[in-house]
Amino acid sequence: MALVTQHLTLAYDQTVIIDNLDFSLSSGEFTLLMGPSGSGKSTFLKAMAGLYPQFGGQVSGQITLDQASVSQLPANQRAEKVALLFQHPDEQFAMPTVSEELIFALENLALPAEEIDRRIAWALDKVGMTDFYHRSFITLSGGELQKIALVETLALGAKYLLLDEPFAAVDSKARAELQSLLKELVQEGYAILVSDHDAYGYLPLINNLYQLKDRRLVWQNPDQWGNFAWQSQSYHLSKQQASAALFTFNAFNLSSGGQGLLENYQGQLAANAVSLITGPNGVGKSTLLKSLAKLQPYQGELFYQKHLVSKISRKKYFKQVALVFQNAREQFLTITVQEELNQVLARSNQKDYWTKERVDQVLATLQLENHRDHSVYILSGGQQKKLQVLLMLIMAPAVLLLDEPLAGLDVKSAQILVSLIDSVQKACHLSLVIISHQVQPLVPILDYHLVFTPGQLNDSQEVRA
Amino acid sequence: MNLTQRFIFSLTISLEVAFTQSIWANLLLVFLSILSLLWRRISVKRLLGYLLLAAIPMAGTFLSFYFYGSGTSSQNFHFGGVMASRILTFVYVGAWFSYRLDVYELMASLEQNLRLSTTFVYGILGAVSFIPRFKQALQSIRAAGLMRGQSLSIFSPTLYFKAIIQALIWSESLAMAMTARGFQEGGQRSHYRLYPYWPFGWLIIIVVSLAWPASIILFHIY
Repeated sequence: MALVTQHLTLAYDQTVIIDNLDFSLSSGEFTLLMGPSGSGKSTFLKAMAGLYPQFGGQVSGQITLDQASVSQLPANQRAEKVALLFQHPDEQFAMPTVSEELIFALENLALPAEEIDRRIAWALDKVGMTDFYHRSFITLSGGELQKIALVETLALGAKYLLLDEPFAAVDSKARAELQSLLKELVQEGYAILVSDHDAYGYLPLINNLYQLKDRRLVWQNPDQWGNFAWQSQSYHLSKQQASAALFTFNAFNLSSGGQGLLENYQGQLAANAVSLITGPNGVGKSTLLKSLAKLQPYQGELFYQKHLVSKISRKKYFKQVALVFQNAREQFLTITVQEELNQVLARSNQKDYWTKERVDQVLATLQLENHRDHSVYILSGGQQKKLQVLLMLIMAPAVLLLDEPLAGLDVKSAQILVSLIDSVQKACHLSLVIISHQVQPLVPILDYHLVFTPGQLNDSQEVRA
Repeated sequence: MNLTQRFIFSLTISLEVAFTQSIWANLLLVFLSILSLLWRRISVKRLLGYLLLAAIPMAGTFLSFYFYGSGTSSQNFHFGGVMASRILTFVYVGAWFSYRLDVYELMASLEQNLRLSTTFVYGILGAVSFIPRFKQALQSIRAAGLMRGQSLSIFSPTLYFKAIIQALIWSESLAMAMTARGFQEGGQRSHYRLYPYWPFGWLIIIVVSLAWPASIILFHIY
């Protein structure tokens, strides 16, 4: 009983990602797959789930489950055995509500209605999501979406669970909960393969750690696992003199999907500084950032440098204030990397700073220089993220709002990107407001930290990474 | 009547209206549709809204047949009246069909009753569930443009290029997500909710769709 690859070679868009791999995942195993952004973790998991070659990708060699070829099983038989949780939590559901989605999936297995009810109740209870049965997906946060995806795969009955960066947009509390839930499943005989750029929290739970590197999966000896973990630490921000107000909130109320997120908030965000907002999943961090970007309605008053934001036209406002979207693809306007760079270089607010040499040098440190002619849509999630942040740093508006700028990046890429953000912020005197679940790489550049708890936003001098 | 029956009924009636030439018979259908809509507690404001919707094409059609028809003026008057009342009939029969229509229920009903291909049914449902996200996406594409110093008007090719890219990405990920959740083209599926035919509904459909043209012929209602 195992999910096995034999002599597997995997290519996507003419790039070989895995070369001649023998690998197996058995019942009761908890395996972590690590690798830098763009190394092909997503492609490998999709192939293991039998989605290639049906959805692109070239596969040679064998991927078998109990001796049967995974990609040749009909989808309705495969889903009872192998399940994949996708990287983008909002792109994995076909129906608009939790109940419709779960019913759709179980109808695919041709189960009778009573059995559908029984399985849904069992799986919701198992993941602790029973209250979410009637919710619609647009009201759920990233972490809640991933939990529902897990509910769905458990209800389908799959025993081999493949999770692709499941915690990219999940806070540390939900992350720890989900990780211990995965461990429980492993103890019940499930087999779990999870890809992640961050080993935090896994090491006491897993049986195997592989690194995807140079088209090979390298098994790591347990005594070296420590190299993959970031140390958890608490930092104290040196209290500075309060700088001028950038945004001022007055009797500010924010809600989403009928749920109150922030009530009667009075406060401000500082100009010419780097502010970080942290808080649990679903508390409303992205919604708050969108309201600062005039993309989300709110009640009360919001001022940008003493001007009411609601009175400033979008055209004028977006010249000063820009959002780095959580989903990198939303930021792109043209097709190739070079075209994207040309577009922002022609319109940059800091043309003197962004010389050709500087752009070339930054591209090299971000390891994007060989991708200039590639379409931005075929870059990996991590590469898209790096390019997206770079484009907006070249635009260099007075204020940048960054929604998860480090999502999907490995330790090294994250550090490189943060030092780039830091140098541009200092040289061009930008104000930054950042939301991030990955806090550690950001600590050296932070000036302010705000903690978002249900209904409240409070200043804090402590940052826990 | 279940939704498939409602669909068949409105389709049959509309076809018959297209082949008959009776103003009074058309107005009778309008009256019956309004009665049924009132029974289903439609607001009067909404009912009048449909009338407003029909008014301009009705007036235009009537006037053009009346002034430019090739018959005598009384023939033209009658023919213009038939055409105008047809439009009104289509609008109210359409309203009868679509009032408080749940697309999910309609598609599920068509899938079960008419054996419509599940790929088609879930393709449509997937597209419908993307509509609110699509509106949001258009708004954020335009914002993304402005944030990069490029104003994207509703005539801008970039706006549509981005929208199409987004649609392609969504359709690919939708197909992948459906496959990963066990959806197999042509595969056997069960139905959690059943939408059986209402036997008495067939009686109504048959009686009305026969009696209506028959009475036009028998009683010369023009």
